[in-house]
Amino acid sequence: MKIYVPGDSAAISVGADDVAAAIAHKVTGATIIRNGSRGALWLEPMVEVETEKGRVAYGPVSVEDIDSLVAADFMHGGTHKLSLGESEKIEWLASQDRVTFKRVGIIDPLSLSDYEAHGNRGWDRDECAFH
Amino acid sequence: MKYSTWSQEAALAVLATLREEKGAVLMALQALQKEFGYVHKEDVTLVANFFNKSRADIHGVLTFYHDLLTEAPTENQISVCVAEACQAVGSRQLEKDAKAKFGKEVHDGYCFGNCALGPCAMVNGAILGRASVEKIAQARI
Ligand code: FES
Repeated sequence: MKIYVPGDSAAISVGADDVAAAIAHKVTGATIIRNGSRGALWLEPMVEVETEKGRVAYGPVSVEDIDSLVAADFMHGGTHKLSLGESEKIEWLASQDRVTFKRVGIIDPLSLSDYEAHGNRGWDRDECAFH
Repeated sequence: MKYSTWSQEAALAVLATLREEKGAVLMALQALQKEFGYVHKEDVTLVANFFNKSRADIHGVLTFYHDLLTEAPTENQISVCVAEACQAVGSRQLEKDAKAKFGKEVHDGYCFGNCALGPCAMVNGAILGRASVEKIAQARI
């Protein structure tokens, strides 16, 4: 089970580290990925979970919300008062066409395999457009 | 945060590590502050002699940057951002309230790059977004 809690400085300034720690403590078997923020800072900390229909978001989440989120089974996309629906369909995000920030928020920024899994080989000399 | 006690020998030892650096006045002042928590008034002469500059030059640099302290720091260091975006969401009031509650610990800050989550404060180096007096109190040691 993958749960995304942004680890960038803006999200951390509103408690993302504490939220990540509380989820790690209360949800057994969760793999917590510290992604970048998708940029909707008013929704930070914005927690996402991977479900069959794609990533589903909740926000802004605080440590006090974790118990009720667990009770609502957010780990599997359950409905909660902080539900934002499918991340890709959040209007502010859906209306954007991202170029330089394309992967931010989507992948684990420190994982090369995650980067590759999204069709990127920019690190590979033979594949790189600038070599 | 634990700092060494200032002495002339200790200050010269800090400066000695910067001997190879060119134009390192600001680095020297930062290094001294890191070691002792602030820049001692006699450091101005030491730094001036070390880099062959006038005391006025060093004084100018020291007083230009608000982050350089000339007195021993309080145990908690709090800055409240009073730059434009944070002012627009009430940071002047937060600054007043924080000063009333935490006194000399509170200084003004000028944009921590976290404008979308203002008002912002910084407590012992950690940035707080949507800051309030209560959140600052929680973040203090
Ligand atoms: S104006 Fe306060 S963080 Fe930028």
